[in-house]
Amino acid sequence: MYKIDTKLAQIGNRSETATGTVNPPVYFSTAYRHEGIGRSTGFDYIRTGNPTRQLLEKTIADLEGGDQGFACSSGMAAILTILSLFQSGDEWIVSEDLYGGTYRLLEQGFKKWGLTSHYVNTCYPEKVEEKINENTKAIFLETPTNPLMQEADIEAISKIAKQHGILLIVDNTFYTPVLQQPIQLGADIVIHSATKYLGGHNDVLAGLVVAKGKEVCEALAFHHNGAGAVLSPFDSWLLMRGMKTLSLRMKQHQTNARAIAEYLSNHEAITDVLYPGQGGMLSFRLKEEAWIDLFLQNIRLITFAESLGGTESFITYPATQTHADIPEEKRIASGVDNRLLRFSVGIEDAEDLIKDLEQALAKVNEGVYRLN
Amino acid sequence: MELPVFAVSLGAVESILSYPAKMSHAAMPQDEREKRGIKNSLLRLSVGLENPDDIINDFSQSLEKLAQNQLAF
Repeated sequence: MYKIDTKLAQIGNRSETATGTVNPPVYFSTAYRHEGIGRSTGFDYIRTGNPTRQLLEKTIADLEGGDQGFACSSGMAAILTILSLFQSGDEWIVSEDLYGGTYRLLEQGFKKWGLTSHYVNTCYPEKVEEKINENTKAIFLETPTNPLMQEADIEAISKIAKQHGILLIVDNTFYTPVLQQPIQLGADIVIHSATKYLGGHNDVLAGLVVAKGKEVCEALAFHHNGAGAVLSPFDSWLLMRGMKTLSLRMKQHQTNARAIAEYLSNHEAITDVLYPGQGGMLSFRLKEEAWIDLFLQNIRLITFAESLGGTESFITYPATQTHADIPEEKRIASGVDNRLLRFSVGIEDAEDLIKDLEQALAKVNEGVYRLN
Repeated sequence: MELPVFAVSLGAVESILSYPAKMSHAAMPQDEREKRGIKNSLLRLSVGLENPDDIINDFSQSLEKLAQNQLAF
């Protein structure tokens, strides 16, 4: 058994024996020829199966320690595919601190079809257990949470889930299998917005699901094919291309994030730094809401944009971007207030990044001084 | 060797093991190669991003197999 760095660097190699091609080919065909009735090569129609997508699916299943992988057209499509496992009357227990898009899909999407979600602080297993009733069918965790970076104890929650016979689903986008493998900790299903760290280059929209357990895998396979929110062959290939350097990139993201968390903690313009100690994501609050716009206008190296996990550093303003779909009162009460910025620390030189933060904060200081 | 791919080229994320005599330096006449020390016993390794322990283990098992085949060392 090889270590994760090794598996990642060699994704797709040796998959094709006809020509010995090192980099895996992309199969574009939507249809596959059969010699006769009941004589399939294993491939019939692209939505059901595609060799390039299958390679990616086997790869992520292996990396996460699951039984089967499913590649979807986006992270949201991945969640949607999982949601098709449930029915009217079912209930979910969900991390309170949550990506706005997930919240939107649950509250404005599946709620009207009879799926009720209860939001709790999943850092406290007892709070999760409290909400379980006879209709509860799954627990959906983000860990660390987006954007407050709170970590849940996957193992503890998985024990509760098993006791009650419910599924544990973990969104592993922020840490990736390099830092965290939820299935190994007892989860049943893992999802990724592969658009983020796995792709790593802000050039492919994709989602991945990995599951453990024969029944769950069969059901997911059925709905993955039935709903058809599958990932295209080219995007599958592009995603594998990005994943080859995942280990290397995560190391640099983490080294940089640690240095930046330290720097921000010591700056007088910053009131809080939320960094769990690993990974490349951190959040911080400026002293005044009024400084946010000025700060964002003055960062030069760091980009003000949505998304995260790419080689280049991004700062996002959850209030108007990722968490805009959460009602303002609820959002602010949960801690995702108007002073909070989320930083996806890239793999640039740490000193260059710190200098950029320094000059932007200096400009804010000047601006404030002038206003006063 | 199982881990590196036996192929031409270099500089990729995966380790590539090349045989200069038949690959990168095949276009150079044998005596010219030998003058430069590029013997038929020379192999070139482009070290990839795999975990170094895995690559080292691969070398060990491969060299072990050579020894077992009782080829003179």
